[in-house]
Amino acid sequence: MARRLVIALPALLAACTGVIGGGDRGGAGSIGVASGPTGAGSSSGSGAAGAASGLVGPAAPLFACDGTAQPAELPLPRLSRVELANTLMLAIRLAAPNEVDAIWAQAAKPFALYPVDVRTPAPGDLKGGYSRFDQSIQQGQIDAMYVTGTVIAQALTATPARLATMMGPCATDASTANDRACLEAFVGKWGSRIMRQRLSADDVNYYADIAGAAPVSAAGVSDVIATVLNAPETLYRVEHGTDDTKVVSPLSPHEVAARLSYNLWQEPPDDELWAAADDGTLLVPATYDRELARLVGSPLLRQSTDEWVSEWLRLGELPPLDTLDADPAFRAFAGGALPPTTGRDSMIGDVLDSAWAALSSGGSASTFLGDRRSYARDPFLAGIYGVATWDGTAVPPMFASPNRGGLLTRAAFLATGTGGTRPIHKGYLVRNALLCQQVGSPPANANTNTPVASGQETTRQAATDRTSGGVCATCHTTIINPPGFVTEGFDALGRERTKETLYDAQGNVVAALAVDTSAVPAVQPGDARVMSTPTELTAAIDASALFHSCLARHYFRFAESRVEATDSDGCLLSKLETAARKNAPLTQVLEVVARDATFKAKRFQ
Amino acid sequence: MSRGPVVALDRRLFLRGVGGASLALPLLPSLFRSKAALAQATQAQKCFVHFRTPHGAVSTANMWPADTALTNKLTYTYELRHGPLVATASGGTSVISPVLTASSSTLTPALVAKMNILRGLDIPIAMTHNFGAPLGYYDVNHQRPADPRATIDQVLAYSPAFYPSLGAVKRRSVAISAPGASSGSYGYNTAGVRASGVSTSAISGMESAQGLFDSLFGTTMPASSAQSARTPVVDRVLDSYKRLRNGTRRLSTEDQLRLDQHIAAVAELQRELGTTVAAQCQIPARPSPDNLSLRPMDGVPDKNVQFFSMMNKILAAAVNCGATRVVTFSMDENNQALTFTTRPAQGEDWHNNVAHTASKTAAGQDLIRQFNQVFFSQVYLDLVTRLDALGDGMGGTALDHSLVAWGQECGQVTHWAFSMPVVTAGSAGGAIKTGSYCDYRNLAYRWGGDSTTGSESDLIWTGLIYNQWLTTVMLAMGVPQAEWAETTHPGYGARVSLPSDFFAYSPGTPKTSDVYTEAMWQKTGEILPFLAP
Repeated sequence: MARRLVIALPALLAACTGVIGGGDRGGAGSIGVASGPTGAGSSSGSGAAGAASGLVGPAAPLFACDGTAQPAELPLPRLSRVELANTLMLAIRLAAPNEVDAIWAQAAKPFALYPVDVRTPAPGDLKGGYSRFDQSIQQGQIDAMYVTGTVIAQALTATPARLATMMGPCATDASTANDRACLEAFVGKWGSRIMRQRLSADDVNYYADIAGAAPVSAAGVSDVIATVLNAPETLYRVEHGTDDTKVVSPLSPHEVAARLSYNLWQEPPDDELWAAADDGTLLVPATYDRELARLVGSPLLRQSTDEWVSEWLRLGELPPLDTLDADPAFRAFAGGALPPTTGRDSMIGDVLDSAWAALSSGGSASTFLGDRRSYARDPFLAGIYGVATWDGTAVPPMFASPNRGGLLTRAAFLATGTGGTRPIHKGYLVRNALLCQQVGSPPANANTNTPVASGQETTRQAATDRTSGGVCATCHTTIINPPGFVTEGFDALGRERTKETLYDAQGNVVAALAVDTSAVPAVQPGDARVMSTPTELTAAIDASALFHSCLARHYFRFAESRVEATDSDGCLLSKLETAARKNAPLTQVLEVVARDATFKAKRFQ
Repeated sequence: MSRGPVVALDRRLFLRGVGGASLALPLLPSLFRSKAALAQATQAQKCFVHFRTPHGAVSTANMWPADTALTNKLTYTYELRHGPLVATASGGTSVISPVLTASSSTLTPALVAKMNILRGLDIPIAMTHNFGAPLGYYDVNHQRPADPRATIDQVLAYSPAFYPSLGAVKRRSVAISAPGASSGSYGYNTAGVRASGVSTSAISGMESAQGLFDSLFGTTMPASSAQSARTPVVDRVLDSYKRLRNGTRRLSTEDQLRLDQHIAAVAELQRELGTTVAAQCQIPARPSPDNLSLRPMDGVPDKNVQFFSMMNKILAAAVNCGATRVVTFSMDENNQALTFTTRPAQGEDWHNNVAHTASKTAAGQDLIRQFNQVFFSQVYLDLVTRLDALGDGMGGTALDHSLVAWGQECGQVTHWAFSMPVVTAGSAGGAIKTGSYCDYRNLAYRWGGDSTTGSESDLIWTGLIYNQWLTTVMLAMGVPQAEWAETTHPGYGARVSLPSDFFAYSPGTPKTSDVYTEAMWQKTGEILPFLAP
């Protein structure tokens, strides 16, 4: 029997309500009239936008600004697990700069029990959420952090030498008269950094009092440190604002600094940013611009952008590629490209490297979408791309085939971990993740049975047979399937192909059928153009500017750690969208959030 | 500087830290209490354990005994049937049904007598995928319900009726699930406070056997370094939150609410740290290496089983010691990369090409059967038999005081919540009768007209409302209705409904209100038929 290993039919995709409802203004997201502003076609990057000339133009913007709207405020944001880990690392680094690794090794064990933030769906958009949305307060967090904080505190105070390094000579000299002052100085400096607030004298006293009668004893200092590490100002971004008379209060320089650094680096403020906050110059426009530019220009930006891109594009859904390496049919399918254990990570890394390349080189949304360079760092993926391996520093090689047209044809979007492609899944990903078009949920009685592989039909044909009848056809025929069909010129490992070879369970070839990649993906309604290559589809997506709008939406979600309310958040969304659609450098798009007035103020509600 | 010892012992923190210290000591047999003495401490301690497995999709033929086993009838809101639960032993194997099959040395007549299998419990909503539905959080297609309810395990965990005394309880509840995936257990924003609303996030789960051990029998807390009677750090931490919460610096109302939630959790930590596991308890050795080291294990059933049995060993001891009384497992072949078969999950591939084919192809159904049979015989029964081996000193076992339930994501056709299977073991201290195969289907209403259900298309009947099972658990665990009362019906959980014309293509074209009648909803406040002692 022919073995077509996958006809992807996630239940979510099996059918839909027939409504593409992503357009918040009832426009572009609903595949509306292409009457929006220009710009998408003027890519400055290596993307496909240039090829969009003469094609259907940009869709209407998804977002509009209502100047009277009042954006919501995320209450008492909890540091994400990553942010918290970075904060703890800073706490160690400031106290014991030469023993960070050793002390963190001790802390890592209890911290492993700190719950992983769960990626939370956006309402109506099952896969459109981020782990940052998880703002839950869990017992497991409190428990794990308590032990972790205690371990770190005890490690930092384990020897007189560490005390001296952390607090200075006053901690180990012969005098006891200076002990309290020694401790207060430590709390004032170290504690302020960890809690991201300039501590008042009252604050310093409060924490110093914890040490008790022997201010610089190991036990006393340990208790102070453990308490600071578990304090609300450490685990949350506590913001008081600076004007209690206003509903929307300007933030203090330190509060702004914390927003900047966690937003862009997922870390607490570094020395330079802290200094600018401490002397108040951070709120001076020139200084703010300088610091913002420094943060977005730093390699540390990648910490957050990797998380953003990975969750936006659902790279985590790529299954391991080597699980079936012993399966005869899969071995026959893979041939000389049997995936190594690292195959999955390589493919994901290829996408993240592409995003980073665009970000770090002044590239735009179009650059990322149409990037035709390979970032394959291992022979396996490089072989799939038909290029030399990339060393991570040199100019990455271009894809060998002209048919490999950017993001849509990166292996991470094509591979399935089996021998069969998933055109429905691919089509849904394009609609939902790249165009932000919601196809709705399938009815519960959607026909969920996979077609039986006969050896007489391709995956595309089987998927068509399976979804062309009844309620399924409403969405699958014209909306979900076509974008996926266009990339059927690549197999389930991401290799280019013109025929789909089917194998039996023993790995014998039972059929080699021509692949049909032509379809009408209709990125926007009314676009009846037949496309047969990912390059064409990429160009259409680029020209629609919906990818740019979608990027804006997703960056808003990531940066704000919440789902947008298009009415009250329309102004910021619109700014992001405008920047993205102008093909501004992606770093400038990211800066939009930090430059918005809402970023430096808090609404007390 | 002061010349106090750099390394000293903080007695109070040492005691509060409990685990590290107690774990470091070898357990001496002479410290063990007698069974009778231990029983005194635990006899009233009911425990609830729930396993959730993904997809359902177990065919009628594979899940249930033949209808001939249903020898008795009862007129309820309609005629119900049941019969004694029997396992047929042959060749060293005991068989209740193809899925409910295990070694005869495990699935003994005595154990079968402590079990029930419940058929014909419906969640009347187009459910599709869910994590929390078996426990009462009806998250249609993994989305937040329009009218969410906390899951019963979390209501139990913070119920003063269930936990009148927290004594040796280290963790009110334990959730086993893949990190980063929903555990399917949902509590309130402020733990235990219904008025604070149902949390948008599930309770965080864990799946490390070592982590489980540390959280139930100790911590990774090192011995503290001061011997003086210092104020415990947890007290300091708690005070720091109260200082901020009640201070003069500006906070929004929502900020304050979140601080209140955190304060409640620190207070719980304070309680936990003051709790010591009875030295008499037979604490198993800390697992080493961890079960996580078994990965990768997709497509390796022996490792899949071992992965859970390592946790079962810890949990059985913890339940017996009173370290926890509520445990939930949320299994997911995708997030956990396991199928209990040699056929790997491969991300969503199992779902797409096995679960979805199971009602139409023999190959798909056989894989589903394998998954569930191995789970039942080697994971579910593994914990059940461990509990049953722990004597209570009064002639009974820890299992007798427990209710160990297995629920599935869907009924016999994946996506659908008709006839959600429930398998139970233990009587919750005699609160429910055992030893029955209970069939709550309404044979007057067969769901028809849908071609997607394959060979099961003529085998789907509607049944009693699943909320009644949730009620049964709550009542069996001794939690009064006052703690979870609803306004629209006397049972537990949200009153959901299918569209009124959902059954338009079924024989007789009944309205949904004909199928799930008001009388049935009014019965949801009762223990399920056949189970009341």
